Amino acid sequence: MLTLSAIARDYPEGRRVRRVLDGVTLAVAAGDAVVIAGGRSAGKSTLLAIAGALEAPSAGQVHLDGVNPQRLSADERARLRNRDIGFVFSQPSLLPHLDILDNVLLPTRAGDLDPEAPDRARALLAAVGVADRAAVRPAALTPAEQQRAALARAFLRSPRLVLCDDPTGGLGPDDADGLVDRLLRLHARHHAALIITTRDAAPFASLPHHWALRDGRLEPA
Amino acid sequence: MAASSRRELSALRSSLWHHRAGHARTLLAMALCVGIATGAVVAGRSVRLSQRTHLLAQLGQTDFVLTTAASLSARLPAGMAVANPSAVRAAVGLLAVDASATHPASGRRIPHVRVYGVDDTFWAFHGVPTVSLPGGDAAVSPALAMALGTGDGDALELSVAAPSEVARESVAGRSAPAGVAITTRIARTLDAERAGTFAIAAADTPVPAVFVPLARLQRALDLTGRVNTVLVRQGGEAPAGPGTIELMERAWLAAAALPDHGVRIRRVPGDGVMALDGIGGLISPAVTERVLTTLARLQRPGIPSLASLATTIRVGDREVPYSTVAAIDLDGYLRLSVPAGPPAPDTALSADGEPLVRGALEVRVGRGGVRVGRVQVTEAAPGVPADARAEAPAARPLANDTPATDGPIWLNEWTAADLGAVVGDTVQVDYLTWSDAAGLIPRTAAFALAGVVPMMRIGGDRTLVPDWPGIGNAPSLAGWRVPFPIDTARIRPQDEAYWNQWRTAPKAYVPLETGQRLWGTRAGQVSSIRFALRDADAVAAAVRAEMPRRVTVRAVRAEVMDAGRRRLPAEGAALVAHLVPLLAAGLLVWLAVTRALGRRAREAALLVAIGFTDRQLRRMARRDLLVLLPPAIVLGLAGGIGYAALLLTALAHWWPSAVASVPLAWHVDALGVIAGAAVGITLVVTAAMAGVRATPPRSPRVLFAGPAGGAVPAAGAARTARVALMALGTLAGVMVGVTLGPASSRATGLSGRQSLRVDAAVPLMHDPTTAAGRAALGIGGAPEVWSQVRVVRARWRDGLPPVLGLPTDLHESASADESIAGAWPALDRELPDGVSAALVDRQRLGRWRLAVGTRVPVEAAGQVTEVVGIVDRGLLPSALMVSERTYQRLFPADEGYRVWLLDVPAPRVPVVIEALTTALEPAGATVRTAERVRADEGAAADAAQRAWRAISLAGLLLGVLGAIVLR
Repeated sequence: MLTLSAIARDYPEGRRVRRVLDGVTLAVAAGDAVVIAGGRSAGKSTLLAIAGALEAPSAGQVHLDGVNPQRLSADERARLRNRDIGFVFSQPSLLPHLDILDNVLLPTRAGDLDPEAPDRARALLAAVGVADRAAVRPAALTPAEQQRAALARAFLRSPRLVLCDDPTGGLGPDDADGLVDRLLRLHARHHAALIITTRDAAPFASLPHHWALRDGRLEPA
Repeated sequence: MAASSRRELSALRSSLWHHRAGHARTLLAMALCVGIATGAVVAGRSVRLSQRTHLLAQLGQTDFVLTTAASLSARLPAGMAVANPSAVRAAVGLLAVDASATHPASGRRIPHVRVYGVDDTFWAFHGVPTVSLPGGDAAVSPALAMALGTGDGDALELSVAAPSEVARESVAGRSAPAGVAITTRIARTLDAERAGTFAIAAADTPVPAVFVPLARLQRALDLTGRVNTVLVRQGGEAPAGPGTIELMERAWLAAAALPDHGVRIRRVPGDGVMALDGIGGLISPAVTERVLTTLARLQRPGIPSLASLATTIRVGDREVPYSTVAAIDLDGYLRLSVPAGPPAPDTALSADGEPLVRGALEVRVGRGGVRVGRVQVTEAAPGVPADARAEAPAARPLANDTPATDGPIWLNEWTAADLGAVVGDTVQVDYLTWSDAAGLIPRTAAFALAGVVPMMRIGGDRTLVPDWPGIGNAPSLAGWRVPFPIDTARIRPQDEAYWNQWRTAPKAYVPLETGQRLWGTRAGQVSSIRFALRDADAVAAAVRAEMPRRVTVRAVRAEVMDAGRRRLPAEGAALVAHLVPLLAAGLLVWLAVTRALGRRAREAALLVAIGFTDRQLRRMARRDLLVLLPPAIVLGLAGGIGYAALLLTALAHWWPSAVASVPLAWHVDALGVIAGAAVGITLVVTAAMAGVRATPPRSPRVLFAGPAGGAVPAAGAARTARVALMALGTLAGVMVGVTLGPASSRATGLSGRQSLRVDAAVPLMHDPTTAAGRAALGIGGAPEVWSQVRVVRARWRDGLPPVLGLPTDLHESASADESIAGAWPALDRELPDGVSAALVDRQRLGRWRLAVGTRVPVEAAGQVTEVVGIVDRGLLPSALMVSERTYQRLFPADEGYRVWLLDVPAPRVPVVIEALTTALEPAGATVRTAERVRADEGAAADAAQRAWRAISLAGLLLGVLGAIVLR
């Protein structure tokens, strides 16, 4: 489904160039879940940004169901993200002026009209356990609840790929476990390819594929 | 669908409220932008409409003004209204002359004062109560009262330029007084409601004016029954537009008599001949050509003549002083004037009632001469010396060795006898010519005596010579008032006897071409045209119908309206003056937008990650700004109107000179507000859109955990804002810096080297740097004071625009600066269609929206000039500048110089000022130092600059404070 082939990514640092990713190769099939662990500045976020068609690699190829996002126009890439990719960031990233339901429905404002989206959004909110908070603003929710709402938003479009950037990073152990539990259930239901980057792989120990990102290289954990 | 829209609307409201702080800053910046633009435009529009109101108020009820350099019958205006009531609803005549005015109590004097001689019809014409001016008292305009500090009851001295039919460039014409001194008492100062601001040509600045009783001014100027200006209120049925000027010309032609054309027809006593004479002594070349053409068409031969003065007629060692002479084709005249039948009623009669001349005229000819007459003189005219009654004297050898290079001459019988001249003698004639550059120049011509004309008919015809002022009415020969000294010791009893008997009858005759070569001037080459008596009325009617235009017709009301289109609108000027504040406000809008969007970088990044395109994000940003715009406009309009009021208050109280001290009125109308708002909105939209475009890339990386996460990459916008602020500050600093010191002090042009400028109400004819010129002007002082003084003399014609005639070789003068030297040669350029080349000064350039290539009509001359170059005017008055040659072509009747620029060594300046001030007082001249001129004429520029500087600094302050707040 998602194929990363010999991905490299360089960033300029003054007059020098720093290689953040170096020859990363990874294939994730639909329904698979992959955990990539790594320390600070290991390149986890860069890898997700490249996998999520937010950044272009300096070298290598990315294919999502055979489509190379970098061959698409900016608008087509945006549509690809809207339709096929769901993001969960380490911070909840909800718009503070919208209520929870509107935050979950946010992807529908960028794409085609979807009359069934509100119902689907409510179902997702129920699935992540915040159905009763649909009409309130994010500030009224705990961080764990906000992150769960963000999780619901990531699955609204039934994406083929869900990318989670240290989704439990800001949560306590119980909240983290609850979030992982809900994430895995949604993943199982939507049969999406799932990539989770994290500094602490413990909450995701139940997942079958674990990788480590060290010095820009991807190694089996 | 409806639910979706409601959700969108709710989201928008939520977004606006959530980001209210940023939106409020943006809204305020937008309102500031709209407010400044609206305020500037509304204030500018108020200034423009106030100026237009002021200009129209100056005109009162006047639609058209007819002016002439000479004079018209005072009955003509009423005749115009009667002759063409559909075109002329009302017309009134007045005398309008230039003057300088002195307030004896304070010693203050100002040049360029208008003196109006008016009667009750003037006040009635304007529909204001009659202003009673008992005992020849005067009323003054508020501008004059303010300039001189006069009060009611104060004395006022006027040096008035006298209009004259007489061309002063002819020697005889120079006897006419160029200026007249009038002392009067100020009865009252007139306000605008009583036509106190009246002007025959609307002027930007209030006109210092004096109203005196018409009869008094007519007497003072020796123009009883005459006026030189006609005000016309257009008839309701007259069509509007350019054709109305032609309509007014036709109305004038219908009412004008021959004297209004500057000529008259009278019957010459005794010869059965009519004479068409120039009232002022000369007939203009255009009229001469029309008259001769008309006579030729009627198959009536016309014989032109030109009269002049001779200081001496000499044969050998005998001479006759102070004579009149005539240039005429004697042969043609004699064929024209064979009398038949009974004597004409006004034929001169002898004491016993018999005509003095019986039969016809015989011109005696001698050696080499041609007999042009064939009949006998039956009786010699009285007054001829006894020996002159003898038979024609025999030819004798030349009395001296002077070659007779100037052709033949005929003497009248009296003169030939007095000089003992015989045919073939060399006759020397001393005469004077006038040159503006050199003054009176003595010359001598030598002729060969070709014949003697008896003292009858043309031989004693005093009507050949015009009624020159100072001569025609002189009681004696010694009493001539002429512009050259009369040596009474040379005048013999027989000369006075001749004067008593024959008055101005010419003593000598030369061929017309010879006389024109010797005595002709630009103003004319003919003083009289003679034609046969038959069909005199038909000739008079035909001549009258063919007369060229002699008055200048100006559609003054239309000019005021048109001036608004030609000039840079005050609204535009106000916007230009607000350049810095507008840029600052635009910058603040930009800054507020980029700042607000920068603060929402995480939100934008999230939207990008979710799949929003850049276009969608920009549309959302624009939508937010669009929502903010209406309240910003409302707020801006309110603030703008308040700001306009503040500006007008400042202009009225602090910078009145910037608007020529015109009373400002508050004009807020939809057009001004909409125009101002449009400018502001355009700026807001431009700045806001630039802000949206300049918002840093919304990388979703800010959302990711790790080193790059969480940062708001707004540094680029902040840096750009700092750079923009620095640029704005630099711009304002440079603009203010380069204008430190009064604008007037930076005037260069012609030239920084001149130290004095003289403005005269009366044209000055003489060169003060020559001894003869100083003597003629009455300038005292030691000659060495003037040894290193140089003068540039310029001709000046008031009008819209004024025209300045500068010496043709000015650019070669050491006094001309680079601006003049560079542009002046362009004046020699030949332009198509008879268009004349002109230069304009930078000040006028901007104000009148002129550019090189712009064609500027000179209404007073009925001609067009084209701007060929730009100069710095320096000490020169602001005007359309042409070469002297062009000026003389445009205004052939104008004489003398009204502007002098003097280059005086510094130590001698006080002495020269004192000498000029004293000597030129009768000419109403004002002598000012360069510094004073700059201060006087730069007052408006200085005030405008102060206003602009204050506005710019306020704008800069606004930008800095706003940036700090938005930071």
